[in-house]
Amino acid sequence: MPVAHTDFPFAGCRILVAEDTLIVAETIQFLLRKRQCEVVGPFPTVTEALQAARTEQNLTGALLDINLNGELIYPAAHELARRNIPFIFLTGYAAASLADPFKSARILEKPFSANDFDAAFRSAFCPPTPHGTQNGSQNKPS
Amino acid sequence: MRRTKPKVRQPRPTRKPSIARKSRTVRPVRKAPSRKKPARALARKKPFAPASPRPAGLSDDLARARLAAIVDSSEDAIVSKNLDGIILSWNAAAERMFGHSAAEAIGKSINLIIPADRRNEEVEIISRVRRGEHVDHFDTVRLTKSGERIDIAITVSPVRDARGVIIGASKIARDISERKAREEHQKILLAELDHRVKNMLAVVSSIATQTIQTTTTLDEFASAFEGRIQALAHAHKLLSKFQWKGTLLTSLLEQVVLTFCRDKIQCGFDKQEVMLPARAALALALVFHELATNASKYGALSNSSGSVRIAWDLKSNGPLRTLRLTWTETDGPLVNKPTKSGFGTTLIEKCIRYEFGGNVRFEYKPHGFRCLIEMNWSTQADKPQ
Repeated sequence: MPVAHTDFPFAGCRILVAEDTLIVAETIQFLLRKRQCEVVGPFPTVTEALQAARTEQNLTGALLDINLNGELIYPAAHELARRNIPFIFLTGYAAASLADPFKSARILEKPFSANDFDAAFRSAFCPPTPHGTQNGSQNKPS
Repeated sequence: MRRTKPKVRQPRPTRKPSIARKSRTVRPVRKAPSRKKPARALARKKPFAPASPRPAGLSDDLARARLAAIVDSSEDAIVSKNLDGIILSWNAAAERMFGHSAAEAIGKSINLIIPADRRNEEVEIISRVRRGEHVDHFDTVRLTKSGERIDIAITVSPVRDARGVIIGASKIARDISERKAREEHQKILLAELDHRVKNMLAVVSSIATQTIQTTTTLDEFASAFEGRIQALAHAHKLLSKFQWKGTLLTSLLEQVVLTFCRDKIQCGFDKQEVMLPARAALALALVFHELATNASKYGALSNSSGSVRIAWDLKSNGPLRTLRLTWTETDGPLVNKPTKSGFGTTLIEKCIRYEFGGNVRFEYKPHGFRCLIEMNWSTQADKPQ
């Protein structure tokens, strides 16, 4: 069913997804699967996302909705940054409203198109190497 | 805004210094904007008219006393200072606004109320006053005696002596903290609205993506998509009535489900009032829409004899709420369990489980379809959608 995007060298990626609205989470999963990426999650709460950020191995990156039902995703983002795993924030909020250490973090603004999605992916994540996933772009809090 | 005409003024008596000081504030009193008129409009009225002729027989002292009374009863702080920034007069409103009494303030530097990070403003203001210029409605921050920063708008005008030489400045300060708070509040509201719109567009775009996956013709897509967006729009309309704090379950059912029913007899609801938080209302709008669409296509709303009953029960445990809701169809056509679950039922199940830690059960009994929903939320957290 999934059609390989030949110009999208991210097949085999493992992407952690945190998003509290099911229908949006479903669309993100749909986009990722279509690109032959593996979805870790999606997680609707910070607790679950943080747990996965701590324990999941071979993560290529993460897509994190900033506000999960009133709770901010930052603890999970800190954990990913600590592990050198790049992430992209998903948000309807303006970039300026990000918490201080994440002011320069990558953002995919909602609503996003498939093209925005691919562009954010390319700028934040590194394609997996044949020897497994490799974390390239750093997204550490400054 | 250069004043060219020296102000007409009687020589001040020297024996009563306190009144003499106050008389320096005569001009600002006249300039002080009326509370009824927009301050801006008045600020542009320049230059001020020279002192109008006093009614005959009014002594200088009386005129000064009257002006002093006006200054003292003003709601704006009115302060005068010399060109070295030493405070010369300080009215009652200044005492209230800044917390220093006139006795404490007079003779001190104006820096008394200027925060360290705003001192350069004062240098600029004084240099403009020296050039005979006015400073109109300049929004700034000042310090109170207790160290609190307050938002004020100041208007500064040069004070001249009888020969027209600039000898100081009069300053009118208006407390604009309420206005600032209003502006801040408005900014927050707009940011929130912006956020809400973007999230809603993300939901709409996702519904389109999902609907495309499960429909085969454009017509089919159009009607399914439109129905789902309508359901969201109904929830939106209800939520906006209560500033997005929530909406009543019965109102939501009336909006979303009744349109599929012949009348309120065909579709009966419980009466118990349940306040749904915004995200529960949005999710249930889609859920009810899917259930009602299915009922009108295959179930109890597809023939004339069938009916739907919706009953519920809300349990509270501290801030936690658990809603158990049953959608029961009776007297519809004979029910056949579908061989594969459709997009609607899948969406209902996933959404309730994912967003509300709940569960959904579908029962396809021969005499009627039943859907049991259990969902949880906390009254403490509700993310604006």
